[in-house]
Amino acid sequence: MNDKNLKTNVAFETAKRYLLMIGLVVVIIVLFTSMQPAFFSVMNLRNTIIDIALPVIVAAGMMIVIAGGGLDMSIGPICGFASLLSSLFMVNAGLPIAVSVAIGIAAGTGIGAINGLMVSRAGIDSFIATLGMQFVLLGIRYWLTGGKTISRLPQEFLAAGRGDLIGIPKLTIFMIVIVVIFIFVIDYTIFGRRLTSLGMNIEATRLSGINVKNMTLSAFALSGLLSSVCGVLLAAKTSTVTVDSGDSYTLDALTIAVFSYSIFGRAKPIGLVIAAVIIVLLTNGFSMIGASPSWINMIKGVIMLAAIIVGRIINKK
Amino acid sequence: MMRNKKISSFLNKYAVPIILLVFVLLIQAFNPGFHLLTWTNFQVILTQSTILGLISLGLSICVISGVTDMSIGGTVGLIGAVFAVSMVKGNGMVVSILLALVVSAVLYIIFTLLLAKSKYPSIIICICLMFICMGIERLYTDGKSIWLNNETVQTFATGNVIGIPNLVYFLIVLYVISYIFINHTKSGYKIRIVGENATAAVETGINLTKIRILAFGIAFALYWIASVLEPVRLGGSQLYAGQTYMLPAMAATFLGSSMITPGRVNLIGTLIGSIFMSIIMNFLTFLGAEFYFIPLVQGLLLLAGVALGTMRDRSIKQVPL
Repeated sequence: MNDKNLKTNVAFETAKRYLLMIGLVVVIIVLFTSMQPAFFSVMNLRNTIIDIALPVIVAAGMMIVIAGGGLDMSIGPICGFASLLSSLFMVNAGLPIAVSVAIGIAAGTGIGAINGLMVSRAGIDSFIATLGMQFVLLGIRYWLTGGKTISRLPQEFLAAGRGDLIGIPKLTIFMIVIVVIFIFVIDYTIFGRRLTSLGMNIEATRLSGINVKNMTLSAFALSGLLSSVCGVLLAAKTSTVTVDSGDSYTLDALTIAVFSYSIFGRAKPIGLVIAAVIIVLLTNGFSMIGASPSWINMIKGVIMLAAIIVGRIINKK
Repeated sequence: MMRNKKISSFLNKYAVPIILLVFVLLIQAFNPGFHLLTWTNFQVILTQSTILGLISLGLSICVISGVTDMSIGGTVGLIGAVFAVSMVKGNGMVVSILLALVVSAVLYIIFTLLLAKSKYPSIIICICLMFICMGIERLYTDGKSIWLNNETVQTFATGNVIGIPNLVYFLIVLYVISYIFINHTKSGYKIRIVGENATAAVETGINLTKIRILAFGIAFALYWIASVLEPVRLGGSQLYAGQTYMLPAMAATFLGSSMITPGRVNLIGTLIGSIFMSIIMNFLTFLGAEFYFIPLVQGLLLLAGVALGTMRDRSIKQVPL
């Protein structure tokens, strides 16, 4: 097979996978609309666009870690930790907004880097290291707040999470910016190439002279960075911060990232967005037809399982 | 030279248990009110470590066979909830226990179908199963904790024979059986080989799938017993009870892997780890520590345990997806 043929073939295979996912979106919309006509409305579609923003941002972090051959279970807690820390500095210490946000994001990135150190230097299984970190952060968050809710965040800060800019919700704009950067980093930089190679074959990557330890470390630090950005935006979106805010993002990030990674067999930022749309539509749909919220976590588990199995079949691994 | 070797090999094996023992004794020394060394409190601790010990034992056997079973957070809770709901509905002891067995068997079959052949990434599959089980548990129990209020169960749970609490007998008997099975039978030997190097095991003619089916079978039988004993001990089934055991069980297992046969999960290490975790939990309760302290300590112990266990092999462990 010559070079041109191979290229068309790859493009065709990728298009097939996009079609599969978009087909799923259509099926979900048709199914829920037949049960609840209000599902297909401008209002709900607008909500969907806002609701996918934060999950896509955390899932991008998870995707970087997964592409590098790891797994990050502390995404939700880092997200909560960053939002807690920045709002504490804003409300209790009265620091300027920019400084508080910077502290929150720096702390989240630092926690991510600690995860990375445990995985790359101490050789701890990434799942276990981040699970331990999840519980450590849970304890720290209780300790910081004493279980109390933080509210009365400054109005200028809250404005970042609300309203529109040129007709597009602000959160969605944040998401688009991050996805564009993500596409650029994964597909067009040396870092992205090395990351993909790290996840595919660590030994070959090491032998080609790449510092795999530092690559792994930076993947986890980036995940921490994206989670804490999500955490700050979450505080601005919800205007109150509780001890467990952000926790649910671990499962969201995992489902979305695993879904798109399994289907495409590699990191695909646009796949991430479509996967997020599927998850958010399902979540909204289930709450609109009045199903118990217990269903939705179960459904997420089933989707992940199905995506892995289907991914194995279509990628013939 | 010879002597140095002996000492270092002794330290390799027993340094961690000795440190743990010293740690516990220090706790005791600085908190005279904490009656660890009295038989009554030790009975309490042993009873607490029964459930944890059995779950960790099942997890350890899975890990020894090469698959880290992360689904315990969901499966244990679901089996326990089915048992408790059935008891409350008045189905009787035997029927409820059998019902729990059926649920464990179904979970076991799904688990085996997905993981015995190593076709799929085990950790993610386990996470999926965990969330699915937690969802079913919540739907099944309506999100409530279930109380048994059954006198026979209560007398059994609090009773003891010749000074040893009834529940602890389960721990002792099952540990002895599992220890002999894993360390002194041909099948146990094969389970260890499969976990050590699956490719080599297949090359020497071991049927990987069969051995994993066997190992998972033992593990799920242990989960079944532990999940039924948990509501019996507490007098009820809490929502997401499995979640509260997931972290301590992993900590016990990996802390155990830093002793006796360092770098490998082994059953005696797991037992020591479970008892240590129970002592720490008991001590935190005694201190009346703020509730946030418990996840913090558990998380740190898990990290410390795994760091000690992987000291000899610090290469990056990837989770292929």
